[in-house]
Amino acid sequence: MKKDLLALGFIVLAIALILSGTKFQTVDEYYMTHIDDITPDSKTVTISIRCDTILDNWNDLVPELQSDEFVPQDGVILPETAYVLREGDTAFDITDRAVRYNKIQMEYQGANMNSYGSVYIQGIHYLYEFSCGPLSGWMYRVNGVFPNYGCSKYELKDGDIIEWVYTCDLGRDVGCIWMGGEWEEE
Amino acid sequence: MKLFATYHPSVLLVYFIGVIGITMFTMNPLLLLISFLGAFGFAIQLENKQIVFASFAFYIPMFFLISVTNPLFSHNGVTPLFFLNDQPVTLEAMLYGAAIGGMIVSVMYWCRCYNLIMTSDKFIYLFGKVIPKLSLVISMAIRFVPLFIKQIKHISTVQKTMGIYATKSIVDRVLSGFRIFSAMITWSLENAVDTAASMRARGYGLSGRTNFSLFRFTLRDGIMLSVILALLITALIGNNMGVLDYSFYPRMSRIQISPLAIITYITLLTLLFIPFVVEVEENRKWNYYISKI
Amino acid sequence: MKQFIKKTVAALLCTVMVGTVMPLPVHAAANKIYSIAELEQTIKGIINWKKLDNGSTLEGPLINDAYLELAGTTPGDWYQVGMGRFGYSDDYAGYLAVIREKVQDRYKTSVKLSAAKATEWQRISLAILASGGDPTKAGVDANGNNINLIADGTYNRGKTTSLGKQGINGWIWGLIALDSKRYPVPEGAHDSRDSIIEEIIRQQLTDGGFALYGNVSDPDITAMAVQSLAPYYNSEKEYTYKNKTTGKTVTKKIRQVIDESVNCLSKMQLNSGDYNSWGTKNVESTAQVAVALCSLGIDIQTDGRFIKNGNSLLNGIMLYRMEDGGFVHSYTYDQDNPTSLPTESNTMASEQTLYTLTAIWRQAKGMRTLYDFRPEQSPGLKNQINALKKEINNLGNTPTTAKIAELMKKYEAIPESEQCYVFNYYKLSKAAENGGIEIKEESVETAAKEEAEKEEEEEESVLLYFTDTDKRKVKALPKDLTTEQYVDVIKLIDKLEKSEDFDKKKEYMDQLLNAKKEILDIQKEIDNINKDVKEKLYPFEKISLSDWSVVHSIVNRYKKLSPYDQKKILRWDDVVKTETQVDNLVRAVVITIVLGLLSIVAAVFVIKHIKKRKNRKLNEMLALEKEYEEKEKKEGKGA
Repeated sequence: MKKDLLALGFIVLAIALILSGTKFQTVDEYYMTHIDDITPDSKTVTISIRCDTILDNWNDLVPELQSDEFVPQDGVILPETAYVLREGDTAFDITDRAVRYNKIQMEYQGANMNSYGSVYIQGIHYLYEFSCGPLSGWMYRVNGVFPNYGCSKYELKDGDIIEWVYTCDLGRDVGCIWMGGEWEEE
Repeated sequence: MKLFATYHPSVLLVYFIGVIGITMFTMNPLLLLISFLGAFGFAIQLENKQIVFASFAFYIPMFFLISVTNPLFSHNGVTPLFFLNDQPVTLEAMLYGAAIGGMIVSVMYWCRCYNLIMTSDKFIYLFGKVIPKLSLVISMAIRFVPLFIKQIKHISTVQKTMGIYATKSIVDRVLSGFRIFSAMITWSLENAVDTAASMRARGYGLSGRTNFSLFRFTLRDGIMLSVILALLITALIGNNMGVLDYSFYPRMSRIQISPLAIITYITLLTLLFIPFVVEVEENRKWNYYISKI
Repeated sequence: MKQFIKKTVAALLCTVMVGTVMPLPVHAAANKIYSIAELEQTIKGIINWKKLDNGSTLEGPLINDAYLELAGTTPGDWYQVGMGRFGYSDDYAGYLAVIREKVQDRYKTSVKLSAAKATEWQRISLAILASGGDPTKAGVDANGNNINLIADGTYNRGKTTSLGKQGINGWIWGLIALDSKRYPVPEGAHDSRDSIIEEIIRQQLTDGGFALYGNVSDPDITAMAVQSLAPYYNSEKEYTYKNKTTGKTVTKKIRQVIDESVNCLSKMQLNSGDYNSWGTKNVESTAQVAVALCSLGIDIQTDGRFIKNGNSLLNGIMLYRMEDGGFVHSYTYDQDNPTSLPTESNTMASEQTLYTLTAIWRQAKGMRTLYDFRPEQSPGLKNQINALKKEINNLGNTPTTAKIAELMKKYEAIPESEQCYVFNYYKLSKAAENGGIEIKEESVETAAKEEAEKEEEEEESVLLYFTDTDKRKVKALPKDLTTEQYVDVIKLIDKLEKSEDFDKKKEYMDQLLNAKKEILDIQKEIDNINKDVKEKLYPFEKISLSDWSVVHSIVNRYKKLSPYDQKKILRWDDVVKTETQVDNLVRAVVITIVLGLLSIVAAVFVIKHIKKRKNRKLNEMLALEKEYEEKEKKEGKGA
C-alpha cells in the first residue's frame, strides 16, 4: 500500500515534468545558446540593476547574504547598459536578455503561475523578496516612473530607460509615489 | 520489554518531544545525520533488524522523491548543475531538498520508536488526571481510525454473507458502500457514547482513581530526566549562540568548527544516542548474565 | 684692449651671420615642416605596422599569403598603390600572379568584378599599375579573350552598367584610372573623357564642393573630384552644362571648378589641420585633401590656405599616428565605421595615409603625381618645365604682351601631355586674358593620343628560371591541401608558365594544376557551406527538430575541412549554437518518451500489484468457504 503511494508519487512527478517541459541543458549549452551577441543597432534601451537601499538597511539583510559577493559595495549589480530593442520587446524580455548576457542569476514566476497575469521577479543576483526585511523586493521603473503593472506587460519603445531597484520599504525608499491602492512588488 | 521503555512516561515524553523538535526545526546537515543515525540505531534495537532494513525500501525512494522535487521549484543557489526549461537546477536546491528528505525520514523513524515505546496507557497515565477529558478524547481519536477500519470490514463481510450487494456491478457496490457508511456513522457515535458512559461508570476523572498501569518516578528516572534536560538546555544555548546556524542559499555555509560548536555537537550526539546506548548496554549485560549461567 | 675689440668684432660678425643665415620665423605659431627623411620614416612605419598586423615579420615581405588572400579587395589593393608608388621592394610578382587569377575567376561570373561598383575595376587597375603590371592585359576570360580592365572599368563600363551607378565616385575613379597612363579612348566607346568630366562637374554643389549624396559638401568626395580633374587644370576648354543641384546651365573651365572646390576645402579645414566628415574628425578625409592638393602642385606644408592656426594638413594627419606606426581612423567612436576602434591602428586609415604620404613624398622629390603612372620625366624636360615655372612666377603684375607671347610659346613647346606639370600656368593664362591675347583651346583627348603613340613599344616577356627552391616548394605541398596554399600554388604556376622548358616541366605543371583544382574544390565547398548556412539556417531563430539533419550535415562537412579552412566559414558560432539547440530539442523529446514509458511501467506495476492483492484475498475467502463447507459436511455426516 505504501509502496503503491510512492510509485504514484513518482508517476505524478514524471507527468508534471513532461507537461512542464523536458528541456535539459548543461550549463555550457545554456550559456552558449542564450547569450545573444549584442550588436550596435538603431533602436536601443538602457537597463540598470541596483540595490543601493540594502546598503542602508544592512542589518535587516539575512546573514547569509551579507557579503560583497551578493551585495556589491557600490550597490550596482548591472551598470547602465544599452541593449538592442527588438520588435515587441517587453521590460521583462530585455531584463531577461541582459541578465543572461551578464550571467546574473534571476528567478521569476511565469505569467501563468500567479494572479497578476504577468511575470513576477522573485530574485535577482540571489537577492530575493523579503531578503532584507518584510517590505523588501524588486521594483522597476521606466524613464523614472514606476508602472503599476507587471514587467512582462510593459512594452518598450526606443530610448526607454529601465531601472530595477531593490526596495527595503515597499518602494518608499526608492521614490515610488503610487503607494495608495493595490501594491504589486514589481 | 526494552529497558528504555521502562523509564517513567514523563521522561520518555520529554525526550521524544525534545528530539523530534530538534530534528524538525534544524536544517543543519550534520545534526540531521546524527539524528537519523540515533533514530535508526534505536529502531534496530527495538524491532527486528530485518523489518527495519525492509523499511528502507520505502524510505529511500521517498527521500529521493523529496530531494528531486525541491530543485524543480527553487532556483536559488550559485552552482547551477544544469538548466531545465531555461531555469537553473542548482546544487544548493538539490542538497536543500536532500536535507528536507533526511529530516522527514529521521522524524518518521523517531515516530516509529515513539509508537513502540509510548503506549496509550502511558499517555493516559500522564494526562488522565491533569486533563482527563482531553486525554481520553486523544486516546479515543488515536484508536478511532483502526477501530473504524476494522468495523467496516466486519459489517461488509456480514452483509456479503447475508447475500446483499454481492454482485460485481458497480452500482451495487456504490450502494453497498453508502449503506455501510451510514451504518458506520451510527455505530461510531454510539460507540463513543458507550465508551464515555462506561468510563464514567468506572469513575474516570474522579480523584483517588488508580491507573491500569502503575509507574513510579524513581531515582533512576530523576537522573535520566535531569541528564536529558541538561543536554537539551546546553544544546538550546548553543543554538541561540548561532553555532548550529546553517544556510543553503545562495551558497551553502560551512559547518562551524569552534570549541563551542564542538561542545554543542557532542551534547546533541549524546542526547540523540541515549536510547541506543541504553539498549546496547542492556544487551551487553543480558549477554553477560546469560554467559554466567 | 686689442683683445676686447677682437671679441666684439667676432660677436658682431656672428650676430650678422646668424641673422642672415637663419631668418626668424614670420608666423608666431609656425607649423612643423616634415623633411623627406621624416616622411620616409613614417611611410616605412606604416608598412612595418601592416607587416606585423598581417602576421609577417619586419624583415619579411608585406605581400605574404595572408595579404594576398585579400588581393582584389579594398584592404588588399590600396597598400599596393602606396608601396608601389613609394618604390618599396616587396613581392609584387606574387601579387600580380594572384590578382590575375582572381580577376580571371571573377570574370567567369555574370557580373564580372561587381554588379554595381565600377570602382572594383578602377582600384584593381591602379593596384596592378603600381605593382608594375598592365591592367589592359589583366588576363584572359572564359572565351580566351584578353581582359582589359581599363576599358571595362572606364569608357566601356557604360555598355553594361553606368559608371555612375554607385554614385559620383564611379565617375571620379574612372577618370583617375583612365588618366593613370593617359589611356586613349577609342572610337565607338560608350563614354569619352569629356562626357566623364562633364558628369563629374555637373554634380558640383553651390559651395564648390562635392558629395556622394545630399547637399552638404564632403571633404573626401570633394578631394577625390579634385584629384580626378587635376590633369585638366591647365585646359582652356570651356564646358557648358546644366548643374544638377541648381538646374542652371553654366559655362566653366575646369580650372574654375577646381578653384571653387579648393576654396571650399580650405574653408572646411579645422583648426587642428584635419577634417570632419559626417560628423567624425578622421584621418582619411584629411589624407584625401592632401592627395588632391599634391596633384595640383600645391605645397601643403607652406600654402597659407591650408594652414590653420599653425597646423598644416600634414600636422593634421600626424595627429592620428599611433605608437605602433599605424594610423587610427578617428579618436571618437564612429557608428558608420564600427570595425575601427578609437584606440588602435586601423587598416583603412593606414592604407590611405600610406599613399597620401607617398604623394607628398613624390611631390617633395619632384616626381610625377600619385596617380600619374607614366614613366618619370627626363631631366631635360624637368628643367624645361622648372625654368618656365620660374619665369611665370617672375612675370610681375603688368607683363608686356611680347613677354606673355614668348612664355606662351615656351609653354606650347612642352609636349601637351606634360603641360599639366606647369602648375602655375594659370598665372600666364590670366595675364594673357588680361592682355587680350587669344589662347588656343584644345581637346583633352589629344594629350592622351600623343602619349599613346609614344608608348607603342611592345613589352618583351622575360623568361624566368624555375629554380630548385621552387621545385622543392612544389614537392613540399602537403597531401591534404587547404586554401592556405592557394596563393603559393598560383604563384608557382605563374612562374612555371613563364619559365623556360626543362625536363619535368609538364609533371610539375600537372601537379600544380591538380593542386589548384583541389584547392578550388575546397573553396567551392566552403562557399557552399556558407551558402547553406545562410539559406537554411539564417537568421538562426526559428530552429525546430526538422532542422536536425540539415544542421548535422553542415557540421559534418565543416569537420572535414582543415582548421585553416574552417575559419572561413562565416557565423560558425551561430551554427554551433544551433546544433546545440537542435540536440537539446532531440534530448527533450527522448527524455519525454523515457519518462512517459517509465510512468506507464510504474502504473502497470501498481495496478498489477493491487489486482494481485485482491486475487489473493478472494482466494483466501474461497479457501475459507471450502473449509466451512467441508466442516458442515462432516458435521452433517456425524449427525
